[in-house]
Amino acid sequence: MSNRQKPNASRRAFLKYGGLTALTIAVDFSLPLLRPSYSGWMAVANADPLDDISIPGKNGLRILNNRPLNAETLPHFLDDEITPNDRHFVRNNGLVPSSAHEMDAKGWTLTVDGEVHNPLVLTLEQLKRFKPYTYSLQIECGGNGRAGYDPPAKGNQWTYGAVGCATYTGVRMGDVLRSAGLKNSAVYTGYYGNDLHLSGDPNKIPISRGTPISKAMDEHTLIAWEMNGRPLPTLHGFPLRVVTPGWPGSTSIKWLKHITVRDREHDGPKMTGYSYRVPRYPVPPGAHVPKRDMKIIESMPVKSLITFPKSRLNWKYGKPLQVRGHAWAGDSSVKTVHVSIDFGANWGETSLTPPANPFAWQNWSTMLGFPKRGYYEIWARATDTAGVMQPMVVPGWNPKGYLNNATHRVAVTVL
Amino acid sequence: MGFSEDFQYQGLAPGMGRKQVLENCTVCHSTAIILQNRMSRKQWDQTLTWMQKKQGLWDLEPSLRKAILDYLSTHQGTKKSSPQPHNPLGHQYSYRPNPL
Ligand code: HEC
Repeated sequence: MSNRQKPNASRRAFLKYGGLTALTIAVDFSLPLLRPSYSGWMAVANADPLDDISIPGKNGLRILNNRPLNAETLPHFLDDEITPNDRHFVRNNGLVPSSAHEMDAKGWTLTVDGEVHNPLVLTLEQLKRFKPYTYSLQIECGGNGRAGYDPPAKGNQWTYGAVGCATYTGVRMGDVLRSAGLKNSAVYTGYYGNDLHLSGDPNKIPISRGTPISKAMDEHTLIAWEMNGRPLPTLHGFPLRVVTPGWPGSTSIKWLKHITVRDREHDGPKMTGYSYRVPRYPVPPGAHVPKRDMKIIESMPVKSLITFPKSRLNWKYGKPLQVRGHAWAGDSSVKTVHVSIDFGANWGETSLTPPANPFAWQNWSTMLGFPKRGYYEIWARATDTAGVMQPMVVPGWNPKGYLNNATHRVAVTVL
Repeated sequence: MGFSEDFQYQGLAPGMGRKQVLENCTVCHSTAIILQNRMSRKQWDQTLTWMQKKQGLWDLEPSLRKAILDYLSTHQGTKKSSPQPHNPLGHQYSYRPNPL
């Protein structure tokens, strides 16, 4: 490996601004450009520099990082049964490509190669000749809930809202792979988008992940071009993305250009080391776990969210309160959702809808009455079809803080 | 602290090494990923190594690396007195989970 030097000032200026459109700067870089006025934060030393930035096309999101852009939805803004585009979380590993900023798909091709008999280079038009399917599919970031771990785990400190369930239209990954003719040696997929590495180095890849062939062949794994009936938004992968529902969102590569079929586990950036991996065995909080003991996360665990009411509600004594939210369970589905208003001593079952299709989240609701005036916490706990429940405490600490599926709680004061 | 200084340092608290962190750590990403994380000195050191191996962070002279690590372990360390709680939202309810 060559001896790398810190770039000089002009090289750095190039890394920062070179080759990027004004809009890229607005979204990825631009604390100053998007800030409506300086007066609010000037006075406060160490004010959070992310306060009051807004993201074009988004509403109700909390920004964790502006460059690369990472933003989650506050739980009460996830109340819709199908997550609207402006309310869906964003997890970017690199910079949004200019083709997506400009919504320009001219000349876009998707390459399929590797362990296939007939490698393909498909235009969007050719891809759309495969039979299209429309499904509601939930995507959750592997690191959703990371902020709950103690000692803290490295990375964006997602709380509750790195999850969403939108309706996607696209073709089945399996149909495309079959038409390329999978060889017997096919084991794993590797997906590549055209987002830019943060360093600005065009030869570096921000992220390339994939899944075992069996998951790629699942009928609900899509190569999608529409989200909720609209072309994929800039931040969600325009013009093409993978949707690998129920698995860490990082397997749903955006701005998709290239699918390579591997004869072994894919080893692209963020497949190896500690990325999107958890220890093979339970460890005490803060433990050092050797890399060889880490395994790739596949299905996400059972989880639920309370989307109404918003926490810290004041409610009138004697008035019944409708509580509602969503529940999902990775590759599986949710059998029941229970709620408790007495710290888990008593649980009542809620009414729960079946998923609109496999991998769609399910909606639950219930009417609650409060026996006395006072302070309550509503806890929601989902159970999947195998009988596995959400834990009431933050589960299995792991070095990168993935898979926190502890029960969600909201506070209500009955007056 | 003047406006331009606060603005220029992207929310990094004043202290020895702030300039070096700003110069070396905000070329690729903003300070937001730094301010969100609290780690021991050793973990910060490992994070820098990971960025050098995988993400194109350049070589850091020993004295520069030390200045950066001094700053990070002081201002973004694991001590309770650290200025930034690792979870900015806090718990949205009053009973902390399992405080004992
Ligand atoms: C050459 C580019 C580059 C430079 C310079 C750089 N980083 Fe990074 N850093 C990255 C990339 C790429 C990531 C991954 C971003 C992501 O996943 O969202 C990252 C992630 C991080 C993370 C999160 C790590 C994790 O596990 O999620 C921290 C903390 C961080 N950087 C701190 C620093 C500090 C401190 C410096 C200055 C010494 C620095 N970075 C300089 C490229 C860089």
